[in-house]
Amino acid sequence: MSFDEIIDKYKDAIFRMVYVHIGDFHRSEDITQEIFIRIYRSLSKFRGDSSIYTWIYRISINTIRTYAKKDRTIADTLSVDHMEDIPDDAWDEEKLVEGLQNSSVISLIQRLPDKYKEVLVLYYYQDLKVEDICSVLNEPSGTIKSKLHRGRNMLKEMLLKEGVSNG
Amino acid sequence: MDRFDKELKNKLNAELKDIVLSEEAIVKIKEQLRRDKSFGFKDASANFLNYEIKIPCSACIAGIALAVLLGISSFTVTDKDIVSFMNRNIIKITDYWEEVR
Repeated sequence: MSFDEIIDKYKDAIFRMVYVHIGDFHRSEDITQEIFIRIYRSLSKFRGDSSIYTWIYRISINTIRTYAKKDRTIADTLSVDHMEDIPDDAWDEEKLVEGLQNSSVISLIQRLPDKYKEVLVLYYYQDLKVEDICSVLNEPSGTIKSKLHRGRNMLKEMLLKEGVSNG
Repeated sequence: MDRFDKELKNKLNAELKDIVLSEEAIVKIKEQLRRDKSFGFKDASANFLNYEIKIPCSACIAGIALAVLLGISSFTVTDKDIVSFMNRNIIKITDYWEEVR
């Protein structure tokens, strides 16, 4: 695969991932450019230990982390401290789905702390399996599953508070 | 995946569908890469060492200046050098005349 093909295949996926983290369109474009340059410069170091897409997402996440703190236009508004560990079957699914339809999911995810945002975007948007996310973030599957569970619950909490009332 | 997961995935994908990288940004990326492709010593050595070299310019200048200084000083002929040279040759000449005699 030539590098132009890599750009064509991953440009929007990477840009969208950056946008969810940063929130500013033009800054996200600059960071996407930086990601592709980093990918290009590290291409000779790729040894095929992992699949190319997990390697590309790993570089993307690391670059996003470098810029996220200083460039982000949205502040994390939620903390896990106040979260109760609600079991999955205790949520009212109808209300949650109604909330999803009435809300902007991007803005809700943007308000999550980075560690949950990363996992949710990789899982729900990039469609990666838990094992692939482990490889991208270099974390054990237990940690990823826990982040996924907590991030999802935080999202559900926001949906019930805001999504339903907006509708 | 339960119903909520599926709905969340669909909604997120639908919202992100309209967010695309502009043509200008793609051109900028390709131009930058073209510039990056131009072969240079730094890139070659970085590839060879498998490590990105980051040496400040001032350190390079100081290093070159030091090397030049050491090079020049090693070729400077001091009084001591002349005396030892002469002594060595006088001994050789003396030995030669003694042999002739």
